[in-house]
Amino acid sequence: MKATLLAGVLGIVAGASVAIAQDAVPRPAGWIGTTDKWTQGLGIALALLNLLILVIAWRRVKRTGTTDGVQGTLFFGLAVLPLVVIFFGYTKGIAGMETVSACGGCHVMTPYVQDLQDPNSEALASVHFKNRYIRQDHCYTCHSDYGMLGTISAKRDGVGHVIHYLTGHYTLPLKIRSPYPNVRCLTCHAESQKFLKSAGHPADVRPQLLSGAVSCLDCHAPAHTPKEAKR
Amino acid sequence: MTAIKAAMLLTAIGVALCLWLLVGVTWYNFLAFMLLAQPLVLLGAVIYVGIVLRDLRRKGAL
Repeated sequence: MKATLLAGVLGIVAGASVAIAQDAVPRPAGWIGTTDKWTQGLGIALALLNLLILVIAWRRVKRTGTTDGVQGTLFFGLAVLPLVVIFFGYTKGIAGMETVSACGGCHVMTPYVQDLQDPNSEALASVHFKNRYIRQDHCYTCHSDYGMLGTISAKRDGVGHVIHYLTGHYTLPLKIRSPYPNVRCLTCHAESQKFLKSAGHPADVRPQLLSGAVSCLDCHAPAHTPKEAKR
Repeated sequence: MTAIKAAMLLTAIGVALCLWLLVGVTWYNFLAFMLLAQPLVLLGAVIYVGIVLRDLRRKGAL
């Protein structure tokens, strides 16, 4: 029990220290971690507790059978804690799928992530990344539509990509399945003064941009400049 | 006895897969979580509920 709680706390502390090392920005006084780190730490602690309770229940069932004394342990180990652990898993998993590292998990995506994070790259995605126009989850932010259904369809597409990757049903170079929709750019840019005052976006062109008749990428390409990907 | 052990084993595998996801999210363990962990935990819970209902019927409580 003490060990599992300690592990959970260590998970939170370890996560926090990694974040500090990567950001190299000191945390403000009283900083007690992020929701993500607490979710991770508590989830790990509860999963370990669940496994410990199952081991104890297994030994007691083996020794005495399913007597009344074991029922409470079984109830917590089989019906209560697993649901809580699944909840934490969902919370962590869904958020984790939106990170750049998750997108770069399949190695055909590595050149895209390297290009994204290359400060010398002038590709559109890299410009957004290095200037922090998007603060986090850069791939997901630009490759998912807005609203609840957009996030669901992005995750469904992601699962499809993993299945294609695992089964080898894809060809190189990778190509976007359908033309990149302007609405993903315009959701952020359309109301900005920089966009509205730009000579490149005169008032008579804006309806075409909104309708998608003219693609943002017609002028702002390339979106990515990856080096050759390997299978 | 065998059924309750099967329920415990299935739940333990499901929770272990959850633990893998919680330690660090990748597409692999996320798929394992979605396609394996949840059905295994659900199956374990269903078996457990079945055992409890059977015991209650045997004792005449239901």
